[in-house]
Amino acid sequence: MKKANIDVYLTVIVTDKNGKVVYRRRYKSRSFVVGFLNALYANFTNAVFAGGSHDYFNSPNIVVGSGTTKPSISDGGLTSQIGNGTGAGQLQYGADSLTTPITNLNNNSASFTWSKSFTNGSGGNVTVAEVGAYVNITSADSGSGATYFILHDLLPSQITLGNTQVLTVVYTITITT
Amino acid sequence: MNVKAYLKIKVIDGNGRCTYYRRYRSRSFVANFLRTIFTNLSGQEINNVNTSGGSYTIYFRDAIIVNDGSNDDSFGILIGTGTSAPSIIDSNLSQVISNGASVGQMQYGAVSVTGAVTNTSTNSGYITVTRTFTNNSGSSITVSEVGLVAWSGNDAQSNQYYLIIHDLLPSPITVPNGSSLSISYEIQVTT
Repeated sequence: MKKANIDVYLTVIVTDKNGKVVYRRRYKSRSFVVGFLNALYANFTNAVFAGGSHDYFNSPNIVVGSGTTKPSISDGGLTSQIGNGTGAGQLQYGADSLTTPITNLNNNSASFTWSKSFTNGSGGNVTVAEVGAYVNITSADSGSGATYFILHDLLPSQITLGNTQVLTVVYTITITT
Repeated sequence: MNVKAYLKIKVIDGNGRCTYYRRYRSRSFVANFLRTIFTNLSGQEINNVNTSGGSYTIYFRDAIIVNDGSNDDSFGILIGTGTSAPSIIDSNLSQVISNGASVGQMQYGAVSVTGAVTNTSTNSGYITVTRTFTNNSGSSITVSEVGLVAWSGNDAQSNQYYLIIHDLLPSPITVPNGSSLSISYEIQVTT
């Protein structure tokens, strides 16, 4: 019997200004951090059984950074997040995008992808060394909520993005029964 | 590493003595769990299957609530007598043992969920979901499957119970009359 549960893979793709893929790597993502457990705990428990508030996941947000510190279970963010923009050392953040889950009955698995593109319009090179992701937990009634940093990966090889190049980060989340 | 779940099982006799303990690797998150998180994060409302076997549209605000109260078998940790191997598309246990003190029933305690415990030495952390089931049926009951059922929350657009984990026990457990069965799911991450 397989010892499965939830696996995450990280794919990084660099395309040039013409859309041509110039770099592609796929890694096993290793680093859910404690924020994932805290978010799951909040979701598991924040209920008013009489029919009031409940909490839900929302607002996915993949981020990239230049830090090179090894991820730790207690990380609350990237070591050094690259800001959004076209200034020196910045990247333009695209929107987070998710694909509809695919279920495979042959191998008893299901997966979806969560991706985001980052465009270098800074005029110079920008080096990406780490990737992570946030989600929010929000109350359905009050709308109040909290942000949780849930994933932190150090790239085995840093990526230097030339001006006008685009980095696409894809997390593939898979469960296997 | 990624997310792993462990299943801890204890049988406690009428004198409070532990007579059985096993810890297994839980193997079987099912598709409903992934689909719900997908809809939460994407806002795209796709279909799930509830514990009654009916298809429903996941609402983007659906929750994953598991902390059910006592004497209720609609969500939280459930136990059963089925022996079918879990499938990615399972929507309920094969044969749920219902709440009660009649023949073939067990009394469901409240579900407790503990917050994250972290160990910076091993770069790991976990949360635990636990429920105790008491056998006052008058005779022994054999438990062979365990599952975790979530509640979407009571929303105008959704009020559903849906299976998120399903495990077949490697060895069925016979719980004598007067004894209790404690089931814990430990959901663990290692960085």
